[in-house]
Amino acid sequence: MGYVSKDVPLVIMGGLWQKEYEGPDYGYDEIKGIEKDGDYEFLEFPSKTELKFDAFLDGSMRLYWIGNVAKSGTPLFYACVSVAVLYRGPNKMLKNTSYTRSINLLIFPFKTYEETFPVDFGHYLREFLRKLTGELRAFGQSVYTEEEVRDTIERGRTLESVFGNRNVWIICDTSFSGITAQSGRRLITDRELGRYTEVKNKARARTRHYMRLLEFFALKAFKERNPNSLFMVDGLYPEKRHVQRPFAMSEEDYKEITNGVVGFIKKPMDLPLDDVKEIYEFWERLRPGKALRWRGKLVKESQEEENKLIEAFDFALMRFRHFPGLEITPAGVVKVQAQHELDKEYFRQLLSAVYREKLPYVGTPRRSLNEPYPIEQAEVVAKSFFPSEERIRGLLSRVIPQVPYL
Amino acid sequence: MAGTIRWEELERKLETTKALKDKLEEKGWHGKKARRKFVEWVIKNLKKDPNLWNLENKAIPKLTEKEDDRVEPLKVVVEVIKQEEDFYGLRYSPEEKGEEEKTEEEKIIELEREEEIEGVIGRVAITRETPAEPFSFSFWLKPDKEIYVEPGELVEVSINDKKRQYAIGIVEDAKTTSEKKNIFEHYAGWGLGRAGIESPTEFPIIKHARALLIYRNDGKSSPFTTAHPVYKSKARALEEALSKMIRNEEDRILSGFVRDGTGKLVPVYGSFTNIFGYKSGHVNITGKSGLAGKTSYALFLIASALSYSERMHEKSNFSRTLGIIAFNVKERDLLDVVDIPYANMEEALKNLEDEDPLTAELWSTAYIYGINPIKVFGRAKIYKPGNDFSYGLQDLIEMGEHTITALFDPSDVNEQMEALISDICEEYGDGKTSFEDLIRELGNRLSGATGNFIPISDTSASYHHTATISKFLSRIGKILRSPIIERARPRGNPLDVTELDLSDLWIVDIEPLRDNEQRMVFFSVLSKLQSILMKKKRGEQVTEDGRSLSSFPSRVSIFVDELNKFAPSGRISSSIKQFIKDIAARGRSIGLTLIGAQQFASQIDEEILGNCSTFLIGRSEELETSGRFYRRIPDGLRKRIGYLRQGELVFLHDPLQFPFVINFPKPLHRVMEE
Repeated sequence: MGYVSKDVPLVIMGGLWQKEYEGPDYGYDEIKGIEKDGDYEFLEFPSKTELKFDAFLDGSMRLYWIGNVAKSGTPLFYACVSVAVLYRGPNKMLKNTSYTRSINLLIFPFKTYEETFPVDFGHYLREFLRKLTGELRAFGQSVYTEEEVRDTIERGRTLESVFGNRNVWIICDTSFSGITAQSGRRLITDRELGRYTEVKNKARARTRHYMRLLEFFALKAFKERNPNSLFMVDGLYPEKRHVQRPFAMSEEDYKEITNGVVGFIKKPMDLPLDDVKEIYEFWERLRPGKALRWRGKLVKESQEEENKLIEAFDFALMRFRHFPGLEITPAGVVKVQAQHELDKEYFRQLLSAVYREKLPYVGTPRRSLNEPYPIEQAEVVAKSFFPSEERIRGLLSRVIPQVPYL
Repeated sequence: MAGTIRWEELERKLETTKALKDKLEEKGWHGKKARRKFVEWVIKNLKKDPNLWNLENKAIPKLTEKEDDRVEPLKVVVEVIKQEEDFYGLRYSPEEKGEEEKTEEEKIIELEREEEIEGVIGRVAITRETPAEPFSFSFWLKPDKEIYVEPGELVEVSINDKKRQYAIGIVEDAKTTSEKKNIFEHYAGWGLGRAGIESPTEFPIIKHARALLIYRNDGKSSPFTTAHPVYKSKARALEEALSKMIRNEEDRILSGFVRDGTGKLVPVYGSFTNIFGYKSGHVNITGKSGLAGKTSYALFLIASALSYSERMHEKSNFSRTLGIIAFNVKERDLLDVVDIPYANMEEALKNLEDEDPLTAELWSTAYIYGINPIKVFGRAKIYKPGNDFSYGLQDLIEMGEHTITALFDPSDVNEQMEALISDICEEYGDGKTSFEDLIRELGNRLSGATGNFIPISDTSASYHHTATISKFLSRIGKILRSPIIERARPRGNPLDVTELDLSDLWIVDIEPLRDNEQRMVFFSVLSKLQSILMKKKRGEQVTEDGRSLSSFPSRVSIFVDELNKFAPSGRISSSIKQFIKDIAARGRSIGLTLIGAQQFASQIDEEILGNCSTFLIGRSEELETSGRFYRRIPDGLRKRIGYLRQGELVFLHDPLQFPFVINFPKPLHRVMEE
């Protein structure tokens, strides 16, 4: 062993903690695999409407590097995820609701690590996890491993039984993709264990996935109590394929919950146009009261049979805020995502309701063109639920067990 | 039972139910206005939760725990509603949805309603920018539009609910602010100035205020350390706080009212010995003519003081008796006070309820506290110049040479003139010389003069310049063209202030008189009073001429409007100004005090203002309130002076330490005039 001293812990806590990521800044990435179905059309929507949004949802996440694990130096990450649902009453004031939630994640490719160093390290790692969960529980936290989360769902219960608790901690394993069903697709291989960026990106993606689930949890809880409310979510509309199983929902349940839900995408990347020149000309046409509507579909490719339609949405592009001189650029253009097959007139009204949210403008200059004020406020509330860095540092330094491996 | 709720009918019923009226009267809500306010509060809360069962079984027990005065009237409300077969359409059901079944909106409304009943309006905010101090603190208010505070308003801070420890604060300044840092940010937030478009979301606006701590019932003087809940003030706590500031109950004289958070009137007391001597004294009332209500307040204070004096008289506490002499200096301001078309207060209040509910409420509360303006003003004596009082040369000489000097224009009175008047008083104070005799005598001497200096009588040893005597004769000629000066007779019918009885109000009309005549009357009355009160203070019970002083009050107050006329600020010097300054400085020790009123405090001599223990400031322009005199008033409250309503004054009284915005009623004769 040479110069390496005894009692070196398995997890070397980083004295220099660092925040790796905070966001998301501009809504989410586009849905992978969505295709334009049919042609687009320009749609005029009225300047006034009776429809108004009652609630707004936004989520936020922070990812911290907290230490490295022995041998491979694989980074260990901590993430906190928070979502806020704000209610807007008849007095036009936004209020926080009881559906605002936050969870904590500890992320590491446990399985890959265990398989890579099979002799002693599997034992050390299991010991580490056992001690860690024990310490966290001693501090009054509700701790779940992803395996336990999977078991919960497989036994017929839903993610609500996890997210419904206070002080939730989930120990995430990024060795494989998927959290609710083991897909078998490896995310991090033994060769990638030492690649910091790879491991970090996977940790961030996992955190984001949890954020979506937590968002849907809050949305579902709100909509169950307020079925007729109009609800705006920041970013993508909740996709059935992501939420149906974790929340044990039938097709009808999903439709019911997502009825009246609108996704607001601040920075649309996926446009229904292919020709670059056409795109440039197209910006100018997005004048006040005009939107571009199209249908998007998500299909599952299959060799045996015809591609199977999984989901379909109605999309629209509109210029949310107009600044003189920027009419020929995409500045202020946002994407609205709603349930498919909405009545055309209703969809117009819905667009008008979205457009009404242009006032007041938000305070952050770089978001001033494309962020609704209530969404900005929801984000502020969500972030206010993050535990302070000092608190988390203190807690983790006490609960991360000292498991010597030498 | 549920159906359309007949709100208007219910409101009308509650406003006219005698049982509720009686209960409210019993609990301190006097008059129609107070009743209406209470009913509006009930209706507002019922509209938020139209389930009568909740009012009866949730709200009332909760208020009972807090010993809230509204409990008993609320029980009557429940009874009244229950008498109607359909409860006016209100629900009466203990069945409520479970927490889980409630929608978000219902939950939020429920939460707000709970808070509303409990009355919490905000929280003490201890921050780096707004630290709490031993005698001041900041607080924010709930965002509800109907919740606000104004500078001068009183709020209650619950320090420890279980131990019933609380503090009373007076709002010094109130502000609203938002997250927007500046106007541009706000402008940009509104779509770069698209003012015509309505925003679907309101910016969160934070209402916050700074308050001075005026009372803590736990006796501590340390800064708050907790975000204590803040309430609208409650009458009971306010009464306790205000009365503790003047500990001697016998010394309390009603000086106005403040309203508690429920609109109930709470008396504000002044200290008798601090207003009318001997500890300190003098009242100064300032404010814009026609808007501030200076005379109206003076009349209220007069009614309160004389009612107090009468009570003391009944208790044979003669050392606290008072008489007031009011000078009417403009129009019929004070002369009409006796023209009250009601036989008694009961009749007046009954009639006022419909004509002027606010005045009715204020007078009916004042009446409960022992003030009877009909009695006080009904027996006021009015003295008109000429008919009721006049002065001959001998009367003036007896009152002292300064009384004669007061008849001359101050610019005419130099040392030579003063010496001449002094010698005239000495030489002609014989009991028989009239002004005409004097003029004739001096004229003869002048015509027979051989040099520049002549004596004014055969016995006189001092000589005066013929020019001074000529000047005297020339001026006195004009002075004698007066309804109150007896030219031919040595004596007139002077105001005999020795006749002033306990709790008397004399109104001396000097409005028809010229300035010099007004000064003379004012001076003659004050100098006489000064000598009588000095005797009283010494325990002497007879005057020099042997008249009894046993029924003369131990203290006398003089009310004079347009005080600036008699004691202007600046270097202008006159014998009357000097005399008033002297009264202001030393009068309180013998029980002679001034109630002065004027438009601008800045126009009054600073020494006189400095000697006043009580100030009342009505609506005034900012130009005036930016002056030095007003710096003792906190900024926010000072700004409010420009917007005070009629019937509101800022009350500064030495023993109270803090300025209050008080309410007072219109004089009864004014209500009739309107």
